[in-house]
Amino acid sequence: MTDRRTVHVVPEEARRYQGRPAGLVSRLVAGTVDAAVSLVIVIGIYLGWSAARFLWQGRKFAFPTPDWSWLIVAFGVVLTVYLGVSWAMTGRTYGAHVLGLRLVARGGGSVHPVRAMLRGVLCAWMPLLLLWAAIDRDRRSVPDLILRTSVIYDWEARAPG
Amino acid sequence: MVPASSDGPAARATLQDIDATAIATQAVRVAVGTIAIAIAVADETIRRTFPTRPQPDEMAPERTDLLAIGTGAALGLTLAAGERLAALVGDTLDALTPLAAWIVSPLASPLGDRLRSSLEVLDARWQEARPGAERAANAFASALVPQVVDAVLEQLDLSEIVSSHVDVDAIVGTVDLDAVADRIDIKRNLARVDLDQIVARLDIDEIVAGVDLDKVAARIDVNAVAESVDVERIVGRIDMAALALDVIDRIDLPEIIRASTAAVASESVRGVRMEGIQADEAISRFVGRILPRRRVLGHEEASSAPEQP
Repeated sequence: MTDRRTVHVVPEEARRYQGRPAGLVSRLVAGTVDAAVSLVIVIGIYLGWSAARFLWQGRKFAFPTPDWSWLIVAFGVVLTVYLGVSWAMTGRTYGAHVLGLRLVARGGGSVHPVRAMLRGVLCAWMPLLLLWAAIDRDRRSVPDLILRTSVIYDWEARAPG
Repeated sequence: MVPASSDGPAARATLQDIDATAIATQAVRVAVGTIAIAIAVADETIRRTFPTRPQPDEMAPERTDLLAIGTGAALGLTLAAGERLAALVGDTLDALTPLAAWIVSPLASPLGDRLRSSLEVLDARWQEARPGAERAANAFASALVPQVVDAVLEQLDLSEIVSSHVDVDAIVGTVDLDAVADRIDIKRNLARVDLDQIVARLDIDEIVAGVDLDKVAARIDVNAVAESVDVERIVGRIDMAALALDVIDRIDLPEIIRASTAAVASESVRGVRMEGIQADEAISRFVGRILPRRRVLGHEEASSAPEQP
């Protein structure tokens, strides 16, 4: 066991960034993807609700026309739950997965579910707090500073130990 | 009793004369025959006493034949003369015996004494020369006996005689073979055997070629052999890490892993990620120029600083 080497699945050019704090652009792109995912989920819920109403109302069926406020609230709730659950389970949302990012605790391990849910609330309802990452020394956003978390480049498929 | 020859002098003799004449004749024949045999044996023996004995092929054949013919002729002449002399002596004795007995009888006593003293002198002389004569005779006999024995043995097939007249099984049956075997020191005999030399003379390849290895292998209990093998010890001696890395190098495992996770690790996703990283670096540099005190960890630091988990 003298020649212990690591099999790298990360390309050579990206290897040096692994484990480093992720910058604002990557995180915004990932957030955009997550927002799109949440929007797709809301649309799915809307279509499912409409189908249920169609089955229930029959000929009197008409597409529901909820207020924008309700849609925004629904979108915010969906986004909050989606982000919180994703971070609690794997440390990464689909957007973070595409961009090769991962949310980790201060020590590098996985994030506690409560913190993950609180971070989901902060990120979903106060997204501008993310912009602090652009000027922070350690590229931390306000939720990261509050919840002692960090977003890093992590192209590996494994979960943090 | 030797039958009298029909044309010999003894044919005309009386029954009493026949005995004396026939005995004398037979005595002459025996003496001549003995002399002939003695001459032949003595000739051969004397020849063997020479340091360099001439080979038969070196002798002239005419001389050998002439010598043999001459010897035979001499013996034949001696035999004929002896037979006639014997007949003559027999007849003369028969004729003179009564007369001699009549003449000698008055003088028998003094002549007998004188004759006796003369004989005693001769006997004493003989007794004196006897040891030397006997030694000479013994030496001659010592050289003669082997020749005679060889000549006899050449005429006999000892193997045939033993096989036809000797019950070998009965003789062997009386032998205590166990006792014989006990007296044999097998270890000492084996120690004298040069096994290396014996093995060197064996053609192992030829022996092995004659072995039915399939039949031998069929008799092997492979399961029992496998159970006796300490597989863990063997595996423990294998550098599994080096072996695995060697295999990985040969099959390019990283590329396989990337290909297996193509949904997120495809070239396009990789490009999006790298573009994001480059944009992050650009933002960091921009912020660093505007707010030097807020300069974040940028590209240069990332390339030189140790990796975090």
